[in-house]
Amino acid sequence: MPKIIKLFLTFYRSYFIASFTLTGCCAYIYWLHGIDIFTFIFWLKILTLGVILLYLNTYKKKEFYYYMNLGISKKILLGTTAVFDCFIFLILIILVNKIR
Amino acid sequence: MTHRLEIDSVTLEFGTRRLLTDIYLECSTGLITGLLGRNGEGKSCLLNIIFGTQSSSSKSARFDGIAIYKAFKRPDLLTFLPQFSFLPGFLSPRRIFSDFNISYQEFETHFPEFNGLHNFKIKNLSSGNKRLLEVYLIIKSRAQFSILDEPFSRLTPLQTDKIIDLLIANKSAKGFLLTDHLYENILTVCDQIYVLSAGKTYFSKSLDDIRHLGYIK
Repeated sequence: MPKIIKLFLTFYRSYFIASFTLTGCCAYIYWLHGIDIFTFIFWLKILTLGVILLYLNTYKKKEFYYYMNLGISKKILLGTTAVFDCFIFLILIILVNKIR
Repeated sequence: MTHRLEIDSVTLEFGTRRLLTDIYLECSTGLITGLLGRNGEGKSCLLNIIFGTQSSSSKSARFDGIAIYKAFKRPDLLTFLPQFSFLPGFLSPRRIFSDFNISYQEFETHFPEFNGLHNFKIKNLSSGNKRLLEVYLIIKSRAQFSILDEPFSRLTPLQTDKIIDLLIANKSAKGFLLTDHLYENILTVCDQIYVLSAGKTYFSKSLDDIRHLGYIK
């Protein structure tokens, strides 16, 4: 695996559990209510992801120096993993929609 | 080939207080440069400004004459040891050495106390051992220059001596900029010293200069 992807995944690991729990909750709400609730759970996901990133930016900021010493800036790290997290959210919602 | 890092035109203000006004620093590969200054003079701010992680009203950091504003995007040019611990606690030394492309076996030969700890989580190491690991990583990192903010804090005297030896052994390939309040170590290891006082840097030629600038008695 290319080193840069490994580093992104390593950083993503630091908030994966919290984020995936919220994604799971969103998928469950979607399972119960269907497409009518999508706008609500979409913004819920975006809002909670924003809170997680704000937490990381405040309480894990020292760790950003690890990634910066390897050439990855804080913005790139937060941005890339947030997009990846949203991608997982959408995939899960699409899967729930197909099964439902 | 010798590489040069020059820093000047740095201005840093906090409200009405001007912390840094008249800065000039020059580092070269093959040399260890020391930066001394009392608490609150802005040493760590200056080092962060060079690395690009602290904004300032103005700055010019040039690598071989080329201005680089966000040096943290260029680990081939500059690496930085902040004064706090920066390694993610859930990683192991083996993984960290692999990320930095540095041999863990070589590290173990320098510091046998780390034998068998390659799979330990960083958060389970003592703060001194964690610091030692960080200092070693930055010294051995494959950059033209490395900045080390308080590299000797939390190290035992024996570890400090080994780090001094490592700095001297590695300076032929890269340039170092160090700051630490354990100034005897700085005076031992550094080839040139700057003193930061009242927002200005002064090139110091002797211990008397450092005394005159009020850093030591």
